[in-house]
Amino acid sequence: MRRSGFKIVITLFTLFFFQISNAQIARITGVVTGNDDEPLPNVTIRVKGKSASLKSDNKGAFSVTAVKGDSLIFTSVGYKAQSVFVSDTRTLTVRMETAVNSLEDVVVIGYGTRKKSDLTGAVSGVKAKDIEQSRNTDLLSSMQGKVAGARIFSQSGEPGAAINVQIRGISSLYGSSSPLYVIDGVPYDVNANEVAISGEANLGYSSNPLNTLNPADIEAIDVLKDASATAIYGSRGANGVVIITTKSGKSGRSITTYDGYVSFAKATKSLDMLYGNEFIEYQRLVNPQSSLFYNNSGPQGTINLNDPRDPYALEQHDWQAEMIQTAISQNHNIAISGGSEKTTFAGGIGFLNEEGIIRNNNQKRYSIRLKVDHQASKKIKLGLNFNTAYTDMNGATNTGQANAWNGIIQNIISAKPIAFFDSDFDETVGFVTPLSIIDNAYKNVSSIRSTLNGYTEIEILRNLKLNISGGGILSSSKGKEFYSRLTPLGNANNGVGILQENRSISWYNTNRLTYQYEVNANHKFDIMGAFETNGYVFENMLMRSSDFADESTGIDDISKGAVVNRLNSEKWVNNRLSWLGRFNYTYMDKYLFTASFRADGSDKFGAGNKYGYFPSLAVAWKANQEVFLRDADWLSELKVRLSYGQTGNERIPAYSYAGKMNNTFYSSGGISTYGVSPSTLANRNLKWENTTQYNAGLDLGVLDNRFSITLDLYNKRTNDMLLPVLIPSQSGYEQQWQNIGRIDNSGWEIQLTSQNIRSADLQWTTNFNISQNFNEIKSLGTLSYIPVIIDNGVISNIGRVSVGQSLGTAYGYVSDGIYQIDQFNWQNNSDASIPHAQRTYSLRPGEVDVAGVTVQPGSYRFRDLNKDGMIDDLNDRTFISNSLPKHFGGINNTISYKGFELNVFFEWSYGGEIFNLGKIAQQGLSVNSNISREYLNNKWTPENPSNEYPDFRSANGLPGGNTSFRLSSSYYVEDASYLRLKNLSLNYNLPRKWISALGLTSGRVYVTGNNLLLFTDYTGYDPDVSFDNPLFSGLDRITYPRSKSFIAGVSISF
Amino acid sequence: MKKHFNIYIILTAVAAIFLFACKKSFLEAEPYSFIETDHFYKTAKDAEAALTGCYNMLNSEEHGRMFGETMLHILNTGNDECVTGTGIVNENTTFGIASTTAADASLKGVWAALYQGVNRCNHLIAKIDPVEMDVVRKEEIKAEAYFLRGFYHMILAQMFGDIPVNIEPDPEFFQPRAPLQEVYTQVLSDFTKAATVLPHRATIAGRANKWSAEGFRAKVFAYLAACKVNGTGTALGSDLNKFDWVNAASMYDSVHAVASRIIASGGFKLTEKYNYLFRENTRQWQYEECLFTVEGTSSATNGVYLRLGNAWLPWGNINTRGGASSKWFVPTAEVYTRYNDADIRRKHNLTGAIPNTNTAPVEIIEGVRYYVPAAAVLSVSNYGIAKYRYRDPASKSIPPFLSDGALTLLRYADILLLDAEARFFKGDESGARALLLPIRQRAVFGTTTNVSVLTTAYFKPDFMEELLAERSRELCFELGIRRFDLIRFAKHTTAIQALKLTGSYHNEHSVAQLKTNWQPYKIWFPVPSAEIDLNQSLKQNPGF
Repeated sequence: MRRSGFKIVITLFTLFFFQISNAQIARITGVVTGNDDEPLPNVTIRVKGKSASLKSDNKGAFSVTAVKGDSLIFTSVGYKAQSVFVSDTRTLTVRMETAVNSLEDVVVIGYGTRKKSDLTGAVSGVKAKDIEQSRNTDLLSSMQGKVAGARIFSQSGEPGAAINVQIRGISSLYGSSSPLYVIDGVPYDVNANEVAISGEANLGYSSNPLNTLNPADIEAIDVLKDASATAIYGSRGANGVVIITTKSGKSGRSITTYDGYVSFAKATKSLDMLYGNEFIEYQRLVNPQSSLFYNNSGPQGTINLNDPRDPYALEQHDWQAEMIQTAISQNHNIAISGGSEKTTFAGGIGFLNEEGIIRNNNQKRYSIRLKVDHQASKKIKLGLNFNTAYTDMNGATNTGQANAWNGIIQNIISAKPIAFFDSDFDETVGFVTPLSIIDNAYKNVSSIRSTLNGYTEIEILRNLKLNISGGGILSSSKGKEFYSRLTPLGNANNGVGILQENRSISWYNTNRLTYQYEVNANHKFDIMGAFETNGYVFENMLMRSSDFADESTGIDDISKGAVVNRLNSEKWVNNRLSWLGRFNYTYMDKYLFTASFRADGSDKFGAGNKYGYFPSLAVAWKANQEVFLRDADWLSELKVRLSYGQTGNERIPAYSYAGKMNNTFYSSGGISTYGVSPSTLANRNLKWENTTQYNAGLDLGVLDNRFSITLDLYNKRTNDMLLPVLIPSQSGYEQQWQNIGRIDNSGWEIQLTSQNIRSADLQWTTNFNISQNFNEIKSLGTLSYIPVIIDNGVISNIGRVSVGQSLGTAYGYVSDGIYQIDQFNWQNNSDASIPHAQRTYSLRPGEVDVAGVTVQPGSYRFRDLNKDGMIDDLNDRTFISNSLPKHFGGINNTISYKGFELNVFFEWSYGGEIFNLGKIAQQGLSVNSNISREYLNNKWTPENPSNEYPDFRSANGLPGGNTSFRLSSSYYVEDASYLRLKNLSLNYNLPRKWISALGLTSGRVYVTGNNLLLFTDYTGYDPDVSFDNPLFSGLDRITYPRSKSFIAGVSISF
Repeated sequence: MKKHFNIYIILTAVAAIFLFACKKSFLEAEPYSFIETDHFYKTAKDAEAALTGCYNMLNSEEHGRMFGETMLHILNTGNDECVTGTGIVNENTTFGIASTTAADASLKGVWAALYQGVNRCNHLIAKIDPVEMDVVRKEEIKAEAYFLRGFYHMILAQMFGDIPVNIEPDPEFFQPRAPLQEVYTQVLSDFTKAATVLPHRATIAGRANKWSAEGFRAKVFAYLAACKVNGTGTALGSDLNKFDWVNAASMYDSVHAVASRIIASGGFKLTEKYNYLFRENTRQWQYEECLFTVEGTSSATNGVYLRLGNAWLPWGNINTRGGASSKWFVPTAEVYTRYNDADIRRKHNLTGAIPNTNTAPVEIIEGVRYYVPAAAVLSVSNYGIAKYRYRDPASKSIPPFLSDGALTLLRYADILLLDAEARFFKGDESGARALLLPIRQRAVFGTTTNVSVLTTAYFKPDFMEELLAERSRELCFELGIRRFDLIRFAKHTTAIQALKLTGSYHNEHSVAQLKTNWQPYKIWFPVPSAEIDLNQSLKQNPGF
């Protein structure tokens, strides 16, 4: 900073002498450095008012001729522009400062780039630095809370679990509303099936195919939000577009960087379940005559009440403590970049070994990439880019079957905490503990994923360029599972092995012409036209065998399984064809105008409906360039943006419009016969889903952009939504693909950056963003609502998508306490001397009854909405939860002091709700399952007439009166609001002399803590969960716990 | 570089031409892994495969194996024969304690599956006519589809009462529930069409024949007649599910006429050994007595198996003994005490556990090993249902919890008892009583007991009471028979009220819940709430 002060002095000095000095041509030499004092190559230097420019060389050195009184302008991507007056000083050292929200940033938009200050659309993003700070192993998580308008949430805390990204609300009902990803120009729709994870018992959870991207390789992520920005992706832009750009090389000095860290993670929370002795006491209460208390010496091995046993002698367990471990992970990345004048390259290798906090659960990732750009001649530029990663996920952390609670995480909670084999309930092999489920099950999913693309850019005429690019993504994933006899699944089948392979090829070719034309300084045109084809081929196979005579080789020799249970293979293809064009016009560098149009053809629709057309228009006004504001020095930027556009969506399974026949076998005398039956109902009229979006934006920067704010308001209207609509199953089908109704999203988002302190030694920057989205279903065609049925084994008719509501609402009864004894009559004119257990209760006249259920004291009570004395489906259900938050965002503070940099990042989500089915498990799945301490201590009894905690459930074999727990009610709904200290990191840049002594060019050590604090009222493991159903994401069936992690690492360059 | 530049231009042009050239078919989706419905139903092979698809719904893995598993849990339980075992909770066990609600997923599953079956039949019936194939076979295929359509509608109506009736493929799907009169008119018409065309025995084993259709006609007539006579559901005071249109006398006439025809010309008999009706390797004997069965296969991958281990096998290690792996449903003492000690049916239907010791007794049935369970002891928790039996799993080529056997859906004994019911109604009590004799004779077959012991023991002055009890003794735990008998004789509520809280381990531990939950309106299952949500012209049954 010393030099910077010096510079200011110089500047003032030159200003003072400006008037009196003569024009005098001089050669000025100097060095440009970054704010780490590193020489900075490739900085563009020009004299203000002249178009000729030159660049700093490898050592950051430059030499330029100027006249005293000129200003030299230094610009470089990622840095704030510097302007230096030319005075008498002939040698300069110019220190470039890293840009924070710099207007000179180049933003990657679809099929091109633009300077941020020239954008007409709503785009925001994160840079490599933001990604680095959190040290997330997953790229999308690095964006969480940092991009206004993008709601990023994970399905669970498991390594590799799917991350959902919603940009400006949910505008499509199908396909998780995930945006289109464009990775170095290769478009990619997320298809969770690419990860071969869906073998046994994984309900409602999927993996993240983008998990193969190494965050360390990423230069920038740009999120296109409004239609002006996304319409150029037409058919695929309706849910927003996330453009991921990997790091490129710069000509000049080669730089090798090593970055590595070790992390320690542990669960943020454990649920408060009964310990062994408490559980035994609980069993004595609910099931005293069981083999827990008596030996099986009675007839036929049944219990003998004269032969008690000591239950306290049994081994006791705290399954959560035993299964949840401290996970130690490490991550190493080496990156090399550099190049000559003609050729630049960037590449690297990465290795990640991440342990899950559940025992035996881990993932490894090996990644390698290389990006080469080559200027073959003055007119021809070529490039190749490849990126390959191999991930290897281990651990049978399944989340349970649709109709049962048999997932591993669920088991940790509900398994009895004593090593007790009960022949009446347990597997025939003996007591299968949650540990044995994990230790004796094997699950491995290994995926390889390569992104390859190349381009050539030819300057056909001056300013007319042809860019031909092509490439694709090849993904191959293999899933292997083996469940030995010591697991419930394997026990019933004498061992089960599953082998599956999913493979996909996504390819594209784009031929793009761009033409730039400047009529004069006031009129600039920029025209782009392109033709694009792309295709997707997906294939999978699955084999499942059981009855393993010998389990020693497991899944690696599936032929030992005598019985083949399933054989599957499938292939589908999707092709698209597009024409697109964009026209940019700039007038006086004040008025910006953008129009685009795209026509897309897709084979996902039948004849007559294949093409969709997507126009957009946008204008922007840079008000600060106006004469009347020219003198407002404090104003560094003021821009108003308006846009309109249409985008489409066809991200539905291939052939959805067709009627399909399925294989349906039958038997004849024990011999299988082949049969087929209609399985889906055709809809020949199926067509594009269409979203129209309006956006109004304001960019304001003051005091040299020390304070800047971006505000956007938007309104999105989606028509003809594509959805597999549930239809009355009396039709012979349960669903049909339809274009149905309309959904609106409107909202606002603010992104704020403030450089609170910008002194020599101390800098403090605050980034803040908040987004609010209002989602409303305006129409569902002929229907007024669609029920959302979730197969979960306890409560299934939970959700409802309804006109006038937002998406993700649960539908059910309103909880109204607990039925109490004085609301009932019993024998002998309610004779109080009859013990509770012997009474036959019947509701007193006038008390509200529940249809279809015989309520008892201790049952849930519901509110009688229509006051007819009877709780029934038709009249008394209402909307009881909303999965979507009211607002969310993040606040990030970065404080640098000398070599130290401290980063504190809070992230929040407010107002969303979760239907917590875990509560059911915590109140006893069956008589021999564990329950929570809180429930046991507070539950309803005649002596403790709780109005909050119900009695046990007789249907679960417990001696109790809660008969209405199977009905969807607000009892299970919890507030999922939270504030999380997501990231706290401290970096220290090693002093120069140390670095020099070590022969390095830079060096840094850091410590980071993730998820250190969580403020929430939610009682499950973590409120940031989501069920894999866009119609009802706020459902928790006890998901993989979140971890907090501590990271220590080092980063060096040489 | 000039030279290279041209090469680039040429390459680009070639690439562009290539891309445009393949454009024509580029956007025509080609199905790789399925056949489109529009391109099917063209050949004789298609027709046969489509018919197999119609049968598939009897035992479709996709729908919980229907009559091979789920339907047993739904229809056999929650009455005086069997209840949910204490402490067992899953989506099927609500049926055994009458706590099923309209929101339960399993009911929706059944509703959907049966209508899917109906739709498969309707596609075939509507599309087979233009197919060029053997004319006789074509008519047979159609008749089998009629039979199945009638059967699926019949089960729906017995479960839910008034239901929408579909006779067209891919029907309009917002129809309201049709009154029982319309439903059963269609069901009987379908059965009659099938009975007219179908051969004496199907050429393909396990398929419906003339007598399958006749037999279900007799069952429908008897069901309707009894419901009318006994006023089933009238006390509920609902506009739905009414039997007032039924002419009981004429229906009972029809029962007698059809049953007599089956007895005279059907060629069925009571197979010698009662227990052979419920084994895995005794199809030959099952086919002697069964007018219709649900089939399982031993084939590896198609999923058509029976799954009986959750309730209907003797308790025992499923992997080594072929026993039941769970006791979702358990028998009452009442079903046990209905039998005389000498009745071999009791010994077959109700037992203790299969010992898990090396010395576990074994019996050889037609060359196949079966482990033998211990005798039933009512006071212990192992007292269980043993109606069906799995062979020694060591000899199985399918997972041990599955069965490749056939399950009886309609058998000759039932026809005899229906005829007895009709005869009694028509005033011929002695003729009616005579029909019980062969059934009881089999119940002492192979023992030294004289059948008169049973005749005396089981005698009740009210023949209908005796008949109902005999039906339970003979047909207990067979698909829905007890449930629908109690309903059509309007005795379901009294039967449950009469259950004792003592007498067996299960009466002590499991019966109370059923007694608490049972309500007279529960003779009808609720229409799944999700279906009403989707089609608001469907009305809910009373009480739900």
